[in-house]
Amino acid sequence: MSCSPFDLKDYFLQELADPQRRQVEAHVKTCQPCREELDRLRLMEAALFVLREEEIPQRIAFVSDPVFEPSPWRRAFSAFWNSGARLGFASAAMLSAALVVFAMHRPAPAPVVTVAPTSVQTASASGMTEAEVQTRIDSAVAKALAPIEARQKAQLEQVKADLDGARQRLILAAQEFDYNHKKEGAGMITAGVYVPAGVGEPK
Amino acid sequence: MKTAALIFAALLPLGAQMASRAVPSPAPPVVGTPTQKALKISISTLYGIERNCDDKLRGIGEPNTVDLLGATRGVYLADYGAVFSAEISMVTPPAIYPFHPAATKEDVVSVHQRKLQRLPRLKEAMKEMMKMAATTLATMPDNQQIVLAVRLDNMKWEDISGLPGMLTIKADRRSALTGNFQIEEE
Repeated sequence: MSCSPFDLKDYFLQELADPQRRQVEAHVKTCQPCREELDRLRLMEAALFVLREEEIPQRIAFVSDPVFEPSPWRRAFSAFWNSGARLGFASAAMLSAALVVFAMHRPAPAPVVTVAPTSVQTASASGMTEAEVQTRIDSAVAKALAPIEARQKAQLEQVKADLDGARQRLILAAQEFDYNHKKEGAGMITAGVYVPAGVGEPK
Repeated sequence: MKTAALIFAALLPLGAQMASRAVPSPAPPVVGTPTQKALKISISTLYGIERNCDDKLRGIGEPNTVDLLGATRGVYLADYGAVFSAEISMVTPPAIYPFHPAATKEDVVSVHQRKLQRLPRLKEAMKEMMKMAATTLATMPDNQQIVLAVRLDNMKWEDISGLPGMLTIKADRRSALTGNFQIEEE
């Protein structure tokens, strides 16, 4: 309890007029308890200023408030998604609908193109016949292949020439071998290595 | 009894042998008209002619410049005569080996010219060989033939124009002794 003529809290919050403030100040100088009460108020104010200033919540609600209840659409979706029977029914319905749509909008079969037995059958967009197109393709292919074929022909001729040269050398070597073989055999005969039986024996 | 049987079995082959000796030998064949004795030219005689021919063939050129590729070989054909054959290269060609893989044009010309030069000498040598063979084959009847064939070997790279592939002399012994024969070229 305070013995001050006015409330000390009003004095501390500066809500008193000047004459009343002076009376309170005169009283506090002479009253020990009121002076201690006023010191506690100042201490409390200092403690409050030390705390971090936080923003005041804009809205305070409780779980029981209607705002936390799911919407009817959400409740219907949850009920549908968590039910296998409903989900299966929905899938079957979608499949049936797709079949019905496909049956109603089936594309027409491709027309059968009958080829006329003439040499010039169709015309291209540029107005050229297939025969002209084929002729141009053939000429382009022939033009592109001409240098390759010429190179291959030259290489083939070179290989043939090399092989022919090797063949000629082989023939000469074989003839040289045969010549020397015969010469050696004849030399051995004339040298008397192969003397037939009965030669030089007494009759 | 057992011993007697063994002795009898052992003596059986002896008895058979004695029996075979007792068989008279077959009678000799009956000879009717006397047969003409076939002429026989000994191998030694032919061998001597062969080596003599080899020496003459080698002698148509300078020493070691004529290659004898087939030594002279002779046979006697009954009722016909003697046939001799040989194979030579009239000029020893330049060897073909890795460092001389082909004959040069000079080689071709040189070998060709030398062969053409030696061809007449070869023919003369063959005539001498015919006379020598006719003389040596003294037991052969005069109407039987003496044939001498010499094959001339050529390399593939050679120029063989004007060169025969084979020389042949065929004459009876009488003509061979007199030198009356012709040389055929093939």
